[in-house]
Amino acid sequence: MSANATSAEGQAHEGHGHDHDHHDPPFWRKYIFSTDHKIIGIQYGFTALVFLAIGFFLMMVMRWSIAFPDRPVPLLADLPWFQAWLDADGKVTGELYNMFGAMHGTIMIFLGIVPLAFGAFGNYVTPLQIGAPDMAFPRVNMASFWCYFVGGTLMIVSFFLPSGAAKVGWTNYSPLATTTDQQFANQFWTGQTQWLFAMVFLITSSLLGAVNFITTIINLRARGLTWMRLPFFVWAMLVTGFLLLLAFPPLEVAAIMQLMDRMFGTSFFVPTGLSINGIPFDGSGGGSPLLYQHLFWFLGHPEVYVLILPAIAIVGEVIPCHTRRPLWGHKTMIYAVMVLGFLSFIVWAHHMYLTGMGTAVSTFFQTTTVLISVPSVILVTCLLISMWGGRIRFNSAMLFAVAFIPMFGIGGLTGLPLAFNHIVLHLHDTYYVIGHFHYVVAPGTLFALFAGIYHWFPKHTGRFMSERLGRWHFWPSLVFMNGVFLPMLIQGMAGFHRRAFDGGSAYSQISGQEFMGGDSLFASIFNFVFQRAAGTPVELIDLNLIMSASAWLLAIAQVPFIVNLFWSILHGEKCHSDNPWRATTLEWATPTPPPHGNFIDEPVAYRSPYEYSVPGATDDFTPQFEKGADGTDNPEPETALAAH
Amino acid sequence: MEIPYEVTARRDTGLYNAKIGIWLFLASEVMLFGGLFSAYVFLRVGVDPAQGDLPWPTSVQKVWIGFANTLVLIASSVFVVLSWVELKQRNWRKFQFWMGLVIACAATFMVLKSIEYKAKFTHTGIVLTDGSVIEGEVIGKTNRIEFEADSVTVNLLGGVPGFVGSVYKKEKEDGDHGEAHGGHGEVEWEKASLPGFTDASGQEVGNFKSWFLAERAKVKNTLAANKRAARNGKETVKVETSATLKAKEPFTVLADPHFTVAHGADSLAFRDVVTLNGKLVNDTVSIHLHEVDLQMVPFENQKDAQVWTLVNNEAAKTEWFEHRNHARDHIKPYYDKRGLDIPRKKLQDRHVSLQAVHLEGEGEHAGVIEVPRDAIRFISNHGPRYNVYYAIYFTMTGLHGLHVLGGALVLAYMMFFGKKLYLKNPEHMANRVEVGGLFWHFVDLVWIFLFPIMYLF
Amino acid sequence: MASSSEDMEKHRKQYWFVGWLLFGCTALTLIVGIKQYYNFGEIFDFGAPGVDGPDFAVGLVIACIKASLVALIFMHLNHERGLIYKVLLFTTIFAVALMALVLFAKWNPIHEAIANIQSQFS
Repeated sequence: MSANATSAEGQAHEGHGHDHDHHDPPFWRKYIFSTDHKIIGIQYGFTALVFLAIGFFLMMVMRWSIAFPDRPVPLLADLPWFQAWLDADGKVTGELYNMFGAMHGTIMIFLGIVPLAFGAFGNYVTPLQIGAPDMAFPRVNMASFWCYFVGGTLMIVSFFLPSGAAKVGWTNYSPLATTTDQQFANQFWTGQTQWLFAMVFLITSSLLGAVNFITTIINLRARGLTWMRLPFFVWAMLVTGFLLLLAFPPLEVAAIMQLMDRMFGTSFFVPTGLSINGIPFDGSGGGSPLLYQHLFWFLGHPEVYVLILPAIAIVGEVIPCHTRRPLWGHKTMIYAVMVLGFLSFIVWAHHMYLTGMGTAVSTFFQTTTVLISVPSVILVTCLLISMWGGRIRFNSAMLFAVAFIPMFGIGGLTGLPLAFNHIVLHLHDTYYVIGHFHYVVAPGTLFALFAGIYHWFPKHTGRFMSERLGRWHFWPSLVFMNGVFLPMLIQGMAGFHRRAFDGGSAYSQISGQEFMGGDSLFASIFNFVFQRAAGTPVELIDLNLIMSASAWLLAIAQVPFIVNLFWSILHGEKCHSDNPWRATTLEWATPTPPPHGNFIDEPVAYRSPYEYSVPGATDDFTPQFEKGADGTDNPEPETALAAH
Repeated sequence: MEIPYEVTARRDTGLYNAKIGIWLFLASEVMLFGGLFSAYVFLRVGVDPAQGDLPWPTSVQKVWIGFANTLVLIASSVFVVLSWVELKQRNWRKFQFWMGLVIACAATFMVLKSIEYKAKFTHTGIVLTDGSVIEGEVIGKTNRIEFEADSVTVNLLGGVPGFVGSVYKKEKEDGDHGEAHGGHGEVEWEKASLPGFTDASGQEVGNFKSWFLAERAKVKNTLAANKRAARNGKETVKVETSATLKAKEPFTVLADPHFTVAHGADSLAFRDVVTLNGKLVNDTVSIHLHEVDLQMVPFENQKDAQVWTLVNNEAAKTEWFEHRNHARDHIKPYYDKRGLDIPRKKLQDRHVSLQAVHLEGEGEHAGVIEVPRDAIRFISNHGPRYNVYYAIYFTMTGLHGLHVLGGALVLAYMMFFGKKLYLKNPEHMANRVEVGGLFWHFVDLVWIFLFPIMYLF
Repeated sequence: MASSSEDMEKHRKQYWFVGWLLFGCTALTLIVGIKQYYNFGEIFDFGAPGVDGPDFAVGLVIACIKASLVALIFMHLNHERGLIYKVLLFTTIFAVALMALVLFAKWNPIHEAIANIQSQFS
């Protein structure tokens, strides 16, 4: 049995006499303006879940408009806010659809997934896994959360302005973003300006967080925890930190410049000679919309990896623990994630193939884009092989982690064609692109995040989440996620444009041949495929119903999760040790829940992080913090001593 | 457990936490200013006079201010590092002395900067429709459209109209042109009651905003009813989607042309689809002429440039061309020596094509010309709007200025309130100063690049 | 870095020296920059009169020298640990990539070559 010196006592010893208990800070200091990384992590987590719910709600309204463009929206038409934005019959207007589309993207990415993945899990787990008492700069950590909170609040407030929230897509392209909402005298309080303003807050939050994470990982590792003994999760967080640190400032620049354009009438992103509705734009001109796109996507692409790396990291922790097998290719994965981080900075222009970029430049970006699939495939393959021959515990955490692999796989593989500019000619701005990146982010990242919640829940509460509710959450989610996104790929290949707020009902009158763009090669090929596989566009439009119904059912499928989350805090099955999953990494060495300062004695790492089912060992796992029986384990191998 | 390595360095990395932190922060700052420098290159390379862009202005700054500011910042960098040395040797007083000099340098920098900014905001450029540019100072508020209105038309389907209100309010606060406001100079358009206005039925409008919202709701309801009626095959009602308010006495507004979309002799339309009806009072800009800039006019057509009809002064015109020819002759020998013609680009170079003009005259209006609105393509002071150079100049130096301000505040805090920590743990204090100093040096480093690219070349 | 008293005295001298050096460099930039009609390019015969590329290049080279002096001496990069160099190396690579944005947007050598060939035949 694991003779775990630091935590064997478990939660029975709540009143353990560590010296942090004798002056309890007041409630608001402890739970609201807390500097403790665990509380901040949970704050991040709950705020992000609320934003995810809001983003999901926006999407459900949009899907109504797509599925039933000529019927009024049920339930909402009488709400005062909606009365102002729905049309006289209670149907969704194009304006409202644009607003919800833009804010769905913004909220899901910047306020939902990144804060949940990086802010919540990163904050809660990273210091525990490296054996640190807290983040390196606890007050900066708190500032980071509150910047995020202010930014998020501004985004939500912007819905209630006379102009409504931002409407020009989450990418906020200029000059549309510069010139929209110009009819309002007070330019500051328009949704578009507030979007930029909120982004400045969110970026600041991410930068503060990134500085904190990297410093913590570099300098606060426990004794004996050398670089290669760090769990994969920590490595992924380190790389994610660097992505945020170096990729976000260019977007901040773009946001500041667009703010100048809107507030002070500059023309950074406005070309000479622009006129809107026949009225010449009142500005000097001379700027470049392309500059905005470059600055935006310089962030935009690394941001994709900010979304996905923490997800892979969580799965990388859940799978070895619940298969009782070491993480296959731990070192390979570390190198892969570093290469991935580097490459993600030099692929951004594949979002911009159709901006008329030079052939040579486009070739460069096609090459790097194909290259970046190599480390991604290495990561997924390692995760898959890790399960080979293991004794898999199919609990909720593991179900979500296992489902992550094929879902992310579909997302990644459907992305490969988009790496080539001639295919983008056909697929650009279609539902195919939407399907592709949603597979990466929604069933991909979100499933991993759910896995993480089920996995680490016992660490903080001392109770397991309900397995029954977990299954009721998992299976419908899996089915309906695919119900939403798989038809998108089919519609997209048939050419459905992503921005049609009526779901492309205008297409229903045209024949397949016209629809596909006449006699072009693509038209013939795709007609050949789809007239057999799915039929005419009219039939493809009916897929909208399936997708929308799946989306609403998906919402219902989240109810068991929400119930589970709150119910299990008080009524879940109790854990009988501090290490209920019998895992190997350092976070399980703390008491449950970890007190302020985390560890009671200074933790020492004696071995690499995934020693499951080691041949000859007495138990099927040997934690990092456990001394070898013969005392031969060196807490500080040569690499650490050499630096002395 | 307490957080380790807050003061002492970790053995294998050789660094304490704050130092890693500040270097990472500086790395992100490098990317921030990197993005801005990149934008600078992008915009500068992208300027294409052939497409109607204003050429990139060079040497428009007072070089001595930039030069002085560079020296001031370099000196402050030396002082910061000296103050750190003193703290390392545990001389609190000397540390405070050097740090005081740093703060003084920062203050000097900001003062010089504000002098520079102010000069730009009072200097105006007018681009005429043929591309010739007049530079000088606008007299009073003649760059606004002066309009005497007796009624207002609002669009009942749009948002609450704001521009008329804001214009009206601002002029009241400014105090000048007060008399021109007619009988209700004391009311605010948006909030308070407007006793002077009556709607179509002759009813007095009390609170403008609530009146507007009520009317809008009525129109929208009627429209909805119409739709239902049309579906059921019933008759529809005619709906008026705009309403006109009459003023008892005419009132005058000075409208910023930036907020208007169109105007004629009897109407003035704002961006929020509010139209004032009445009569145009003044629509010419009076400007005190300093320079004429013909970079965008082909060299051989410069004699017929539109600006000369406005200036209408032969002596001034002759003077300008003498200057221009002199500047051209200045670069001629170089090409003569090589047997080349002067390239067209050089002939229309800023140094050749921008020359001062002196208009003789007496009294208040000496040297002032009147520019009618139809002749103007674009008018702005030399603030960020004027062209992309000024835009990037204000953005970069403004952000840099914010960094100076932030850095100075942090350093001042250390100087005034650091004693307690110094007595408790002097090494911790020295580390803090080192970290603060690193940020300060970075700010200096950015300026080292800003000086040549903004002031010199 | 070492922090004995003699070291500090040595540093103090070094900082003043570098400070004066920076002043000198600034003056040099000014001289290069404000000569409007006869410039560096002309004196050494590699550019035409007027504010032009060669001057700009010289100005930027001086700025780079100044910046490295500040970074190495004032910011103690000359005896900093390898870790910081690693961070800065990546930052520099991406910052340089940013500077090349304009190339990514506008550089089109293949099309230019094709246009050249086409113009020869037409």
